[in-house]
Amino acid sequence: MFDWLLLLQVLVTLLIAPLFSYQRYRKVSEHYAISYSSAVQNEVLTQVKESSRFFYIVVLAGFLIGASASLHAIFTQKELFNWDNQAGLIVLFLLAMIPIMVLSLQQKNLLQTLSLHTGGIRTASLSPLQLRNLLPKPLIILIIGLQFIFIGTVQYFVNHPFEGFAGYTNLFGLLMLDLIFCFVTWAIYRSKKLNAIQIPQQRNAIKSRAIRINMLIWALALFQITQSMWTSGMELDSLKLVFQSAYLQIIILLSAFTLALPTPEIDADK
Amino acid sequence: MITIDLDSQEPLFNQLITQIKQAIAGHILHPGDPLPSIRQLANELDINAKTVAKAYRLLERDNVIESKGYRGSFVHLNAKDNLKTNIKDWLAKELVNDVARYRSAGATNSEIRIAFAEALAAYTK
Repeated sequence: MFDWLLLLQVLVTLLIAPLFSYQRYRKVSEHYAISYSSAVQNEVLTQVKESSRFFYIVVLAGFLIGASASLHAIFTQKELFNWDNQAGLIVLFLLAMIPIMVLSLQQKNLLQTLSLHTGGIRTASLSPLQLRNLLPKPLIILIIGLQFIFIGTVQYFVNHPFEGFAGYTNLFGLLMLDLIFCFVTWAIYRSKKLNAIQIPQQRNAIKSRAIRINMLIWALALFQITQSMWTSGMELDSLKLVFQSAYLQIIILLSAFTLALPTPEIDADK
Repeated sequence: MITIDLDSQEPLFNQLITQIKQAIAGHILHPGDPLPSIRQLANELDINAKTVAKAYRLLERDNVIESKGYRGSFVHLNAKDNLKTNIKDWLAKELVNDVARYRSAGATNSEIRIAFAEALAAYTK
């Protein structure tokens, strides 16, 4: 089962996710340029076209490296990269993050290009935008619930420890994780990077979606560290790999989706 | 939506006042509607928060908006009637009458100017 999941991970994270997000990025960047002059629209099109070649090379290189490493591990029945399956999965994950990082830089360049053409014109929404309105309640409840489950799990394994269990230090790890995700949420809320997008509703929609996805990744991270403790405690190492692979695939898909700008809705009066 | 032009000759706080008044007159904002916080507006427009605060202060003085402490600022319930209030025009009219009185009493321009500056300074203290 792990072999199939490994091939699926390579296909999803190194090929499908980056290509999907790039297609979306290309289409939507053309939409965002519509509110600008035709000269700016042409500049955006040229920029997107020029950046595509480099992006496809990065994706192809990453896919070939990932696919050959995975096929080698499957056919020789050795661990990934002749090393360790768990560490190998992390390497594949980092490899899949490269196109996402490239795309995020290209997106940043696009916003910079657009901001150069806005001149002295600045726009803002007439409606108040409060952080609490951007936080979806079901996700808040899910995250709080997962915190309690994690604390309960730590308490259980303090009484029934397994080899390598760190005890109450896990709670410090939980605190760090929470602080990081809270900081990221706040940074998205206060971000000025999107000011180049002239319609405030579009900016707020991007912020809202980025915060939702950040909270979803937060919930998934809590689930992952909790289940990892249970699989270690129950000595289910093969299941641990399956969960880890699935988790990394979801994270890459969500990251790819966050980085692609959402489709703009042009109408906005407030 | 508020749009300001940094390259315009018109001061930024004035542009903000005009935009908010236009939104109320154009029924985009209604009495009782909440307004964005000073920090949010300054952040979105990438301008100094003091500029937004000044615009809000002047709108509040004219009873176009009202502040409700930590809950933020809201469109005043009588905002539509108060939109016509124009302190600048009223002040100009009053001053023209006052200056005419001083001149008829024999005061020179520089005497009026100095007396006015001193009175303003004394009031400000």
